[in-house]
Amino acid sequence: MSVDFRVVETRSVTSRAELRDALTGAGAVRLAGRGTTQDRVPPPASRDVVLVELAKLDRLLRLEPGDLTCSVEPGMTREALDAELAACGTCLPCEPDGTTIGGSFARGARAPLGPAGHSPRTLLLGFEGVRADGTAFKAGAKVVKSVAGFDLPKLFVGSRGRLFCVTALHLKLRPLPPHSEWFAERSLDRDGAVDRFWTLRRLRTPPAALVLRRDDDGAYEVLGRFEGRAGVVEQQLRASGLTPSEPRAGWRIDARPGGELLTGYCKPRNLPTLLSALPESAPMTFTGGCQFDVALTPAESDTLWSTLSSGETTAETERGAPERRGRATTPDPASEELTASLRTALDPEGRLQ
Amino acid sequence: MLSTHMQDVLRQLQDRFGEQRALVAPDELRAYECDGFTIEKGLPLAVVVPETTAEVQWVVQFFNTHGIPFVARGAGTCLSGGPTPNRDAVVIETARMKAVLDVDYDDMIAVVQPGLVNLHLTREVCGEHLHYAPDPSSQSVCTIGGNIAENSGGPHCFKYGMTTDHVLAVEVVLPDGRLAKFGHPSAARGPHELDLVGLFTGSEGTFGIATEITVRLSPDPECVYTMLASFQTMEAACGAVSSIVSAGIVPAALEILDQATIRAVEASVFRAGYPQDAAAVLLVELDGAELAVEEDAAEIRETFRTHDAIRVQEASDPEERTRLWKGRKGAFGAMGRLSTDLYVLDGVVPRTRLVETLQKVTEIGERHRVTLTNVFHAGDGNLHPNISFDGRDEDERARVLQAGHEILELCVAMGGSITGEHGVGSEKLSHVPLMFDDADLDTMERVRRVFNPRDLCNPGKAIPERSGCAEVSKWPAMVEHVLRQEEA
Repeated sequence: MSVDFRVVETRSVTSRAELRDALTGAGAVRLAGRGTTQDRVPPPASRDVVLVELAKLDRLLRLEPGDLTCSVEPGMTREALDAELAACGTCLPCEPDGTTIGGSFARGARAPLGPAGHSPRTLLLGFEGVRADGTAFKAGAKVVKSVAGFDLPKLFVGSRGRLFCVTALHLKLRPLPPHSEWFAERSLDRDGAVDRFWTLRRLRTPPAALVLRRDDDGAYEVLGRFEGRAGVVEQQLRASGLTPSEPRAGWRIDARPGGELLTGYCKPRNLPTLLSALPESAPMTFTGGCQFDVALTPAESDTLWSTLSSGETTAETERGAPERRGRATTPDPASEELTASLRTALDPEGRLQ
Repeated sequence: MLSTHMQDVLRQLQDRFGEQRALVAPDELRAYECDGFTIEKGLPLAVVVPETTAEVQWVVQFFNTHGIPFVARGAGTCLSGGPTPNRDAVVIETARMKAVLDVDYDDMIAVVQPGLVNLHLTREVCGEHLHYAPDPSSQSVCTIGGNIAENSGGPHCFKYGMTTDHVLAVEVVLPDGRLAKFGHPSAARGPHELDLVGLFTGSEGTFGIATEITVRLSPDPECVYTMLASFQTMEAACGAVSSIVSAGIVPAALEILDQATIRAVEASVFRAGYPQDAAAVLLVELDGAELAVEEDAAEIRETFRTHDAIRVQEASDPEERTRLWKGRKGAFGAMGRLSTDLYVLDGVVPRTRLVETLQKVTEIGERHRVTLTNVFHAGDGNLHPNISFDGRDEDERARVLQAGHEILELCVAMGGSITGEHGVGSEKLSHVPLMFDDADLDTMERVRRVFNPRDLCNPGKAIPERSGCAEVSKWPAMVEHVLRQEEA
């Protein structure tokens, strides 16, 4: 695990009891899965932190294919879970992000790739967790539908381990699609790419994944994936005038050396405005779930921030120098105050960082 | 008799809103004493009918100043006592805030006021082949604000999710009167933000009052196909559901009605031609690309055959589909024929345990001598055992409550939940400890205090109060009453 902040001690826990000990020890704590995305979130506020690793809490606790649910420990990797699920014809229908399940949900970083797809926030049914004071608690349920109690699972997704730590996640599954086919239209100009993206996004049966991508040479492409029965997928491709392409697992962009990656959300209607505000050479992606990523130099980033400071777009610097990570659009003042109060209510000493 | 201070408060309300929008006469208040859960009632101190966000803010600030509890109410179709006033609360009715403020057809989002009737939004956008997916059975009368408070579900949840999956942003008057905006028109949370939209949705009106709601619209499917199969046993109907899901098919809806419900429906104005000799009917709705629907329908036909379906009816044109759905949609209304009151339960179990749960539910009904019918969202394992009773009969009422308690206890024992879509409200407060222990409830209470520190906003709902044991102590008294009756 490589981190760019000072760690006074690393504690790799193997049980809930060890986790409670680690949390209730002295000092500030940073929770981590395998630590693969620590450079995508702001560093801890405290100078010295204890790093608590959850990677060894990695069991599949329960798998009920007939109910389309399962329970996993937070340190289980997505690859390991996907293999277990595929063996019984099910899947976790949100895009993998190369981290542990706990890390993926705690970051909640990825919107659906398609306009009607799933993201972590729609798939977490319940959890078992431990508060910073060592109190074990649970919320939600193991069944696909429950509105008993406040929706703390929603609060967990995207909380980045700063409210409490989860020790088990109860997840909603879907049948594994029998067939999927990627498509890609390359060498489009900007207007052509935006038009194509909009048309595909508004299909009555839209693609499961849809991405508008611009490379650093300024060339645009629209790529995506249809899922379902083979004949249906073939028909959908044909109806949209698309041809199958190689699977494009590596379509995401990342920060360039010394650069930054901004991630955020904007309405498709605002996409042309966003594209106009970006330097021509900045690689970017925009998904059917309205999420954009853009790679910029720090100077380009500063310029863009001045245009993002108001309006309907929300964004954050996800990658970059530690002191620049976490720069973000300003939320509504009352929401910001509530967020701070929620942190205090659940972690009064502010130890989870 | 109201205190002089309270009379003065009500006078000020009427001065501000006029007599038409600040109701204080007992006969006018009677309509607000309960929702669809008629077992518990509470007359409000007054009813205020604001028309703008600013008026909601004024009212909430006014009640804060005077320390008066308040509860927001949409159409009053909730089935768990969510908007039932208690502790001399004032009802803030949002019915006049019913505008569609904006529709962005390209981005497929709409901004609406909380009092808008759910179905009216779909009517507004259907010309552009869009709809609002959450469709509780009461969608022709229930409001979107109420749907958000309860995180309402409906028959199409299995494929399309709950209300929370379709809400992008909410403008909220917080319990202290401040205005907050959660979420964005493109996503419910920014990459660096907590999901306050998700937390607010389903908080049963205890975290504030939604005054403006941004929802995601969905494209109408290319093709919709409805199938109704009748079975000789409930086991066969549930078995067909399991087979459909195991085959990897995700229908838009999977609904089951038992024989008692079928007979009530067929004897009512909701008559849909369901076979009355069947032990259960299963309604399956498929939607999507035409070829996908055709292939799924062929597989489901085979499944029906394997599970010895007595009869299968199919419909692709809207009129015929409406007829097949008519009985399901009218099921709760048809229960009105059975008795004066209806207690609609809302437990959830893992789908694979539906059959054994239903058998035990029947046993519970027989043991307590109550009239029980079942209509449920089989795909989600969301049961709605309905108990028809005469609320004026105190003994029957107690037996109904005890049967309900045991059914929810059973759902939790099966690994499920006490509520899938109706909410806890006041109805299930005493059942909450079946699912959550002290530490769980303490954590939730901490969250509630962040939003609602004075507990003036819909007090005593959603989770039991931590300081008193009023709800916890309620059940033993009821149970004792039933046991005494049974011994006698």
